[in-house]
Amino acid sequence: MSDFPIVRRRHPWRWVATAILVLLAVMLAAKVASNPVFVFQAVADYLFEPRILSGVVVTLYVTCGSMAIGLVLGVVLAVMRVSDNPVINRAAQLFVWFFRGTPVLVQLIFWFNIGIIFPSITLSLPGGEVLFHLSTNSIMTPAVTALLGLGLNEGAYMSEIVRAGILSVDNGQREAAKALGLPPWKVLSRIVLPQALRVIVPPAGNQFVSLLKTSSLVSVIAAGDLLTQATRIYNENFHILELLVVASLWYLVLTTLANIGQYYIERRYSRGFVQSGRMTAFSRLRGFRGSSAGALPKGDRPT
Amino acid sequence: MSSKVVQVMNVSKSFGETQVLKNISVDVRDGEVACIIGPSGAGKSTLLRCINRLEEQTSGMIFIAGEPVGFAQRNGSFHELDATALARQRAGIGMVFQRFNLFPHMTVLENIIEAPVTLRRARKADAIASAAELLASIGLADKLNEYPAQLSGGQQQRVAIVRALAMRPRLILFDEPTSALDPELVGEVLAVMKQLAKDGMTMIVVTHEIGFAREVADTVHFMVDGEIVESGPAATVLQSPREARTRTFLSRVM
Repeated sequence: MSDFPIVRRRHPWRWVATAILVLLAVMLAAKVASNPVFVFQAVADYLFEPRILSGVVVTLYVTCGSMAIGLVLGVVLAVMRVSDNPVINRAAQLFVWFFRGTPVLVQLIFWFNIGIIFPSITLSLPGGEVLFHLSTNSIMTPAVTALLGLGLNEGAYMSEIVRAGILSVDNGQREAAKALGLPPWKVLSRIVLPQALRVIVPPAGNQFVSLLKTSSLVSVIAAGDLLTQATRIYNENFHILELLVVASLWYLVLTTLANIGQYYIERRYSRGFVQSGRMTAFSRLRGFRGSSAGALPKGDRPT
Repeated sequence: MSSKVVQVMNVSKSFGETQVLKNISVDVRDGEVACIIGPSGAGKSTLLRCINRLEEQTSGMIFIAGEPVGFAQRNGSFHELDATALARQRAGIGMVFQRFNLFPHMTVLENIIEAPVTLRRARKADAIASAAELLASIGLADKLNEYPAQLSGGQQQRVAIVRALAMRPRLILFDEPTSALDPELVGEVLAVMKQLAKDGMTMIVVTHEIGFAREVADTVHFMVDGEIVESGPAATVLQSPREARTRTFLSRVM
């Protein structure tokens, strides 16, 4: 009597869908493989070509650099936005309005040509003694322009993300910190921002992935990034599609790595918060089930 | 008679058109346990929050140990303090919240030593030692490295009391400390508060626990509509209230 033989439900449509998709994929692959123009060997040849690799490095540092600028600027702007001081508040709002309201491509070209209106940068004392004098074009190299242009733009977007994070922290937290006698700066840095990070990290990771790809815009100012290098090479040998595939493969590698990094940062900043466990493709591959409670000892979950 | 730790003098507070505190004056002596009772919306919590200036009164002045809260007295006038100086003042006033407000990203130990260490009231090693001692005294020695979310409500509130105590405050404000707790957890928090009272801590407690007030309070203040209607020794106010409104309220809650 204790036996209840169960026959699980079948899923015939899953098999139909699989069959259709496999068929389509095979057809596409056959079409590409039989194409006489697309040279697979070129993809393989250029995947690890030194110029491409140097482009990967430039893309990485332009992305990380402008993300770092964006993060710092974003926190500063967000704190300005939540400040009681109306002037500071408005200034931050104006910055965000401007940099979110104009295309980043336009901003990049603008910064690259800033030397036209400010040919040199001079710092001099009131007496007239010149402390230093530099030509703008010697400072605004493509790499610096890329960092500045993308960084300022990123700061505008990050500030809204950070602001949302700050606003997500319960006001009781701020009050408890104040009541303990923590000065405003400590309330922000020790209590509010660490909790805000939990909310900030997922969209910030999204921004980072987006920035990895947006950084390809700096190819218009020949900043030497991945796309710049791919363009240079296909202008010599006309393997346009092959080199775009090479570049895309690298972008995919970088964004995948960014996703994995994001997973670990998220886990770090959800310490003490109880959520259901989350798995990423990566942790699933390793057969590892992570959760925010990862920092909590096993078998000692709150009830 | 022992000295006055808290003097609330003619304090009024308005949120826009609504006046939530009407010319309130209260004194609390050193070591006294004062309970503020009354129906919701009476302004009890607002009064409490004015005492450590989480709310700013519209008029009147509050003194703690003779010092005006949120102001510096110079040449007969009161100069508003900046945020840092105000923070320094608040460090001497403990507060326990209805919703505990432990810092969820920190362990129990980190919650307790955060303020003493950050404000350099104690060296880290000393702060840890005294936190462990305080936790042991309330039976939570084994919870040192747990996160607040792993504790029951009653345990969280007891940790919150220890967090306030770690700053060695001159008085502790309790804002409905048991209202967010499951009924079976109320007792453990009240027990800690009773022990504190026995140890001579000055406490101002906004509460619905009339039983606690009767047992522990020295004085009871009954508030309605932003006014203190009746004040006096706990036994008098709770057993033989003078005012009709006090009688009505007490008959409803008991």
